[in-house]
Parts: sequence; structure tokens; C-alpha cells
Amino acid sequence: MSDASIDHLLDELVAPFEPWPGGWDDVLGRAHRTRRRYALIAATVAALLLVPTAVALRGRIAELFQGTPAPPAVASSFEANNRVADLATQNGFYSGFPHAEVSQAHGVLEVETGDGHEDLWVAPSDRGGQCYFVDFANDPPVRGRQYGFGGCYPTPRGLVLGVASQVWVAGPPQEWPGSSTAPAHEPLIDWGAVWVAPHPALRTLWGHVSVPADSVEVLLSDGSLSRLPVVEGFFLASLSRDVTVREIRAYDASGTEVATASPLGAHRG
Amino acid sequence: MVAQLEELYRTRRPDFCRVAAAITGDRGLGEDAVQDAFAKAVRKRRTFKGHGSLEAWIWQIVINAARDARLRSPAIVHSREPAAARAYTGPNGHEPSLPLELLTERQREVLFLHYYADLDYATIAAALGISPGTVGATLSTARRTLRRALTQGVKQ
Repeated sequence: MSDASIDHLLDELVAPFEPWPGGWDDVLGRAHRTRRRYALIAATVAALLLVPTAVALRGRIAELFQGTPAPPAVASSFEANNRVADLATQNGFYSGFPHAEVSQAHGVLEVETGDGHEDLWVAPSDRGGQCYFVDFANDPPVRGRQYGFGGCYPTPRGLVLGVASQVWVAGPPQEWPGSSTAPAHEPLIDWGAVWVAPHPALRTLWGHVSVPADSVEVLLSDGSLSRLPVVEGFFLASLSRDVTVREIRAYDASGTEVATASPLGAHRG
Repeated sequence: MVAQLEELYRTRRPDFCRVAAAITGDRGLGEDAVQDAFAKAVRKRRTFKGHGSLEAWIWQIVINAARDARLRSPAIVHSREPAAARAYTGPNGHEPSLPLELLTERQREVLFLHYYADLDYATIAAALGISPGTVGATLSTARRTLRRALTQGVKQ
């Protein structure tokens, strides 16, 4: 029995397939159906949690995003932040900037915005905390790095590092990350709201809760109240640029309030 | 990235389907696994790290989808015989059949990827997470096993 005979039997085992002209549309349909299923689940959960509904704020949509390994462009951005930290140290600004363990960078939160998905990635830091990076999924990489911004917790108060990006604060000064109005100690809820240049209609609300928390409630200037999940200590949402944050309250899994933050700072509730 | 996936799908879909059908033991399940695999690739395209070829990454997803489909299929789960072997068995019982049940899962997958998709050793290695040297040795062992079994069958 020769190899040719085996090949003949393999041919008979599975006959060749024909091309399917409409197959790619079916692929895209399957991909979108899955996304819509996640969005529907998120919308159902949100409907149970929001009182009243906050149309200005969009929340998390993709459970499966958590744990996704960071793509190369995002990993490069973490590495770039590490180099900025080195540069700051070399120039005498501060000697204790954390560095991200880039190989462990992974997805934590993904939200739907008017400009597609916005993602928050996290990597453990070499000082026992966490470093993060926020980007819009559809923004093309620039010189191999993803457009976005990031920082580390714990860190010198409110340090935000922009990488290959144009990140601007928008709104009242007290919303700026690293605001001088914040207390000197590490706040229980550290947050910011920024405008990323390619997305003029949106602002990104992101933050970190340094005590065990399951969710945060965000009160906006239009009177709406939204609850966002806290994952690995972080929360993320996309805001319309015409609203501001009035207050953020963090809750543990039992629903007990564990911290609050206003534009003037943060304190335990 | 989506355009590259579409190009790969349009040019190679028959090969993906053939391998997936061989793994699942069913043409319909194989086709469905390929569709699901590409849908997953579209959704997860940002996780492609670029360390290997895009094609090898897709093959990984297709193979995993086909394995999952085989395990989810009750008719196949309850069979003691490998799916692909049952799929081949001739209707009259006298035709020489390919004794795939004598091969390990890895040997079968290497054989299918090499024969049906005409992949080189490096791509097969990347798709299955093994070394190119192991691909060659596995393929050689698989064919030797089949030759020996078929020769003995003919003599009987």
C-alpha cells in the first residue's frame, strides 16, 4: 500500500468544498450577532440599574473582553509609558515611577461609544500596583503604538501619560486628572474626564477605586445617575462632551457604599 | 485587518472547510465551524499579536472550533470510534478504509493540514503549537502507521 493509495483514501474521506460567494456576509453576520447579544445583555442589566436612565453615558458592553491579551500596538504603548517614566526619573522629577509588566497586559473594560469601542487595558506594575492604558479600538496605530493615554496606581498623584496621542482635558478644572485641588494622599476614588483628539464629540470618564468595590454610581450634571461595574479596580465610560460629573460613589458587592468622590476630591462615605 | 481576513476567507475557505470537516467527521459541522471561527477572528482581531502569520492564527481558531464542534455533537461524543474514521467507512464493508482510529489526534490533524490544506511544516507547527521538526516526524509516523495497517488489511 503506497502513499498514493493513502492520498486516494483521504480524497474519498472528505471531498473538496466549493467556494461560497455569500459566505463572508454570513461571517460578518455571526460576528455582529454575538456583539448584539452582549449589548442586549448589557442593556438589560443597565435597565435594572439606572435610575433614572443616563443617556449621556455609555457603559460596558463586552464581558468577553476581560482577559484578552493586549495586541502589539497596545503593548508598545505600555512600553512607551515605561520609557517616559525612565525619562522622568533621569531628569530628576521623581525616582519612584512604576513600570508596567507589559507581557501581562490584558483587557479589562470595553465600552461602546459613538465612535466605536473604547477599551481599558491593565498590566501589573513592578511596584505591586496596576498600570492602565485607554484607547479607541478603531484608531489606527501610530508608528506601531496605539493612540491613547495611561498611567499607574499607586503613583504620584494623578499622573497621566499621553502616548502617541493628543489627550486634552475638557470641562471644569476640578475634573482634570491630577487636579491640584485633590488631597495629597492617594484618593479612594481617583478619576478623570478627558477628551482624546480624534473624538471631538466625546469625553472619556475613567477611574480607579483603591478599596474593594463592585460598582460605582456616577451622578452627571444633567441629573442622570448611572451605575458602572468596577473591574480589577477600574471603571470606564464614555460621556457626551456637554455633561460633567457631579459625584461618584463606590459600592461593594453587598451594596454598601465604601467611598465617594466629587470634583473637589474624595473621601470615605 | 478585516480586509486581510476576508481575503484569506475567500481564497482558502474550501481548504479550511475540508480540514474542519475531517476533524468533525461531518461536512455540515465543518462548514459551520469555519464560519464561527472567522466570526470569532473578526471579533478578536485585535488580539492577533503578529508573532506568526495571520493564516496560522486563523488555522488555530478553525481547528479549535472544529474540535469544539466535534465534542458538542452527541452522535460523535458517544462514539468509540474517531469521527473521521466513521466518516470514511465504506457502505458495503469491503472497501479498504482509512484506519484513522490508529492515529492520535495530533497525527490526524497534522495529516489533514498537510494533505487537505497543503500547508508547509512551519504553518502547521504554528497552528498546532508544536515545532516544525515535530510536524515532520508526526507526519512520517502517521503515514507509516496507515501504510502498515492497510497493507496488513489487503493481505488478509
